[in-house]
Amino acid sequence: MLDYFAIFTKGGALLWTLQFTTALKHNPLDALNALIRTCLLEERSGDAAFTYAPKVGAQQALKWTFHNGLGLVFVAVYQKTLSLLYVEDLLAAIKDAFLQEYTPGSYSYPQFQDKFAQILRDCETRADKARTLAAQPTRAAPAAAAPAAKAGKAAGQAGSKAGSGAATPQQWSSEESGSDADADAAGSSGSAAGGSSSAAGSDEEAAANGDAAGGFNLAKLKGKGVRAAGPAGRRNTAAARRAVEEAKEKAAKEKAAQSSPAKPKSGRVWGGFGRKEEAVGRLDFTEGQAPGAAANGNGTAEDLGSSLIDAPEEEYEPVDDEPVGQAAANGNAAAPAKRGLLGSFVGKLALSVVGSSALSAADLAPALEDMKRRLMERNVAEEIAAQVVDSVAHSLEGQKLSSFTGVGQFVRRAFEDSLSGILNKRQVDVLHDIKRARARGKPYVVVFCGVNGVGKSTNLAKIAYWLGQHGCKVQLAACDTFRAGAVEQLKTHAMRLGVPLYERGYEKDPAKVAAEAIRVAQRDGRDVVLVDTAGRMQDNEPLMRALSNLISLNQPELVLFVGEALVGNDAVDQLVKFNRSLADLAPGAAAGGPAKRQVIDGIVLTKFDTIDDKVGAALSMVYASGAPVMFVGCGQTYVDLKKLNVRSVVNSLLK
Amino acid sequence: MIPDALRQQLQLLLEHQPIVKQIIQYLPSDLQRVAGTPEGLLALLLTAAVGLLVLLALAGTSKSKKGSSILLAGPMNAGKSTMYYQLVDGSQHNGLVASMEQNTGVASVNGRQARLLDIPGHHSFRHKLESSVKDAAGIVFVIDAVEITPHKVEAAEMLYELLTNSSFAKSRTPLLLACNKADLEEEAHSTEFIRKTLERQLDAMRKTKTAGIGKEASAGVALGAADKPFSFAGLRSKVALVECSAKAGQLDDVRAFIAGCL
Repeated sequence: MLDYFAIFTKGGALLWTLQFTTALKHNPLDALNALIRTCLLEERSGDAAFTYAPKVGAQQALKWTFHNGLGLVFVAVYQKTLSLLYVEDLLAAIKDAFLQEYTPGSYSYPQFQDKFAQILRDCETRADKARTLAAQPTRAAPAAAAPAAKAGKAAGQAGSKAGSGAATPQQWSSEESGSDADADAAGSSGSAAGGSSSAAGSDEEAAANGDAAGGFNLAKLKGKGVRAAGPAGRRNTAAARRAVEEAKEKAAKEKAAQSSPAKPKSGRVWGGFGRKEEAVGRLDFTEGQAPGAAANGNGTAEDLGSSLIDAPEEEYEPVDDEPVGQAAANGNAAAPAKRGLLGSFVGKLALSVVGSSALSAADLAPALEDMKRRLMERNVAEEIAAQVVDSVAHSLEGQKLSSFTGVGQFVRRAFEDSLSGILNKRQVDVLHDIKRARARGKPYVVVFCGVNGVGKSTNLAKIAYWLGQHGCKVQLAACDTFRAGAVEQLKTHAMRLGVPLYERGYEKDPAKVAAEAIRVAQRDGRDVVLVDTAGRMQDNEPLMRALSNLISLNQPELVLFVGEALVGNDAVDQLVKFNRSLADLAPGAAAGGPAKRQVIDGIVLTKFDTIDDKVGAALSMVYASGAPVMFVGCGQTYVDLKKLNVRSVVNSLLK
Repeated sequence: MIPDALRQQLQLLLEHQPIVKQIIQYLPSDLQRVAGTPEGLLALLLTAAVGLLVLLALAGTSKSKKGSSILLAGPMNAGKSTMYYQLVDGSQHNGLVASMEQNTGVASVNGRQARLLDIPGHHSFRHKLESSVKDAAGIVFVIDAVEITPHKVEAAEMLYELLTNSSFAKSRTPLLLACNKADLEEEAHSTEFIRKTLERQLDAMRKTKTAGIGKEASAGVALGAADKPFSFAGLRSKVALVECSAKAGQLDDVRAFIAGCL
């Protein structure tokens, strides 16, 4: 049963609403506002559904459809646990029915309620019929159920592996959304089909149900010793899987025991290969040199001038060219074989010159394909490019071209708007927040995290330089207690910048080092604490757990994810997994959540000078995390720090 | 080169019009010789005409045309679209949700027609807001008087970007701060409180923003003197604060402001 159905214009005026239940404790418009602000306006209108969690009450799921020509939005709201199957069908039918009654400027449609009720009834009966038809075990069903069962088996096995990540549940849910009938055949009454089920348990259950519903010959399966259906079979399979896991663990433990017998740790020898004393002597250059000159060659960093972030923004002149239009025209030229040359010529004229006919998906497809290829050539991650193109396509379909604009130019303008919208996020004003923290008497803590080798320590030093130039008293905290030379690197930076460094050497717990550093900073009256952490891969669960431990223990005001601009498709994976680890693995996350839910607050994009116009990593990271790009590192000296110039990035992406 | 009839006319002009002779005398000597001949005179006349046209064209574009539309701006959930519909249609119909695109329309205000432009408050519309400021005859900045404290930073940021916009400062567009949702009498804050809150926020902001962002140095100067704390009265543009309620239709002050801008 639906909770709420609304039809409104893109300008915000509600045209027609229907509330099915008065049992909701919150205003149903809150769900709509959340949908618009966090999903549709963030260029995620290609998503299948949106989940709204009100402060009081159960979660609601929202599905929507547009009519771009008239600027109408149709939204259906229902309880997330129900997962109704007819909602998309209903949305399409209601759209067609409403368009017959709609007149711009009129806001009351009293007779639409009966029509709506009738269409709702039709959709419900159609869905019921489809479900009962598919649930009957017939000979035709094994063909449909077999791929579902095979996918289920694969998903079940993969799900039982530890740390399988997001890949398999995504495959599973995408298969489901593609074939609703198969999901019905699996018999799972929607908890796996409609919503986003990522737990391995539901995969297992759905897979087992697949066997039960499909017309398998159970006796044959039992005889072969393959996993059989039915409660006994399910128990057997679960037990069998558990046994296999235990055996694997035992084997792994034995191997570990064999490889490292109880041997005391011997000291590491540098310069090795036998010549111990000599090598150490050669490497140690501290003797016989003046202490000041030994540290650096050209003195402290005071004489480097102001950071590039304070330099006035250069005027960016966009290069106005039309390659999109040409490519689209080429694409259109390939299509006319079907419609005939004259027909396609007239059609193109009608679109671009007269501008009367509405754009259909076929008209947009070549331009969108070209745009997606272009984005991927600029190093945007593949799935981000697909999602952005999808979202723009949703908003363009059905719109009318103004006269004398070609499809390519129209699509390009739409992309400019949407890409600028994605990249123009609310900026965190760091200096302002530092002043507020200073007024409260506590230091402003910034934590830098990221994978290995992206430039965390270098950019931390650049930001410390910039803050120092604006009168903030900075303290560095060396919480990278793992990498060789990390503490010495920060010592060198601290000496050159003239800021204190809190370090405890290597092999210490980073969370405790950070906590002590913050206490020391507060005692000394420092304004900002910049915490450097060790690089870690996003899949490494123990390290991610340690990072989230550090963050939840110290509750920093700003968590910056440092990512390099050279990264390709991995950008999305990194950000999503870092965000998820910070949210899920924090101690106390299971117990109802800590006071402040920590996720990534900002992105530092490094090595920007090494890419010419392949700036797509910026778009991938911002879209995947929703966090703004706060700093851009564009060189290897202290002054090479800038803010993201959105216009130039958008122009590079669309060139 | 030139036809005989034209040559004759020019010759007559040269000989019989004293004013032409006087003007030629003021020219430098080389040009005097050229202007003496009919061809030279024609050439000079043509260049003078072209130059005049160019000057007129330049003057036409550089003159800051007074904009023609009233801009409704403000943070999200302030009530801009509600106000828009009240002014244009006289009622807010079935209610409103967050706007996904801008609303444009014509409202009749105190007997005059005014073009209204309502831009959504979501951050993805910032660049559209910036580009619409130069065409605005007046700006109504709508603020939620009830939820001013949790959203003061967002409101102050938008207001700051508006005040430091170069076309706004140059053409001294009048600005009205409409403290909306006055119908919730107990929960809505007073205009004095809102004024003080915003002034304090903008004061803090102008110190940090001129340092960090990298805009032109003139942007900082435009927001009043650097040594005095920021105040709306100290700005060059006219800034007024009123209370209003879009839902209840109490928009008389807003209407008066709009009528005054046109």
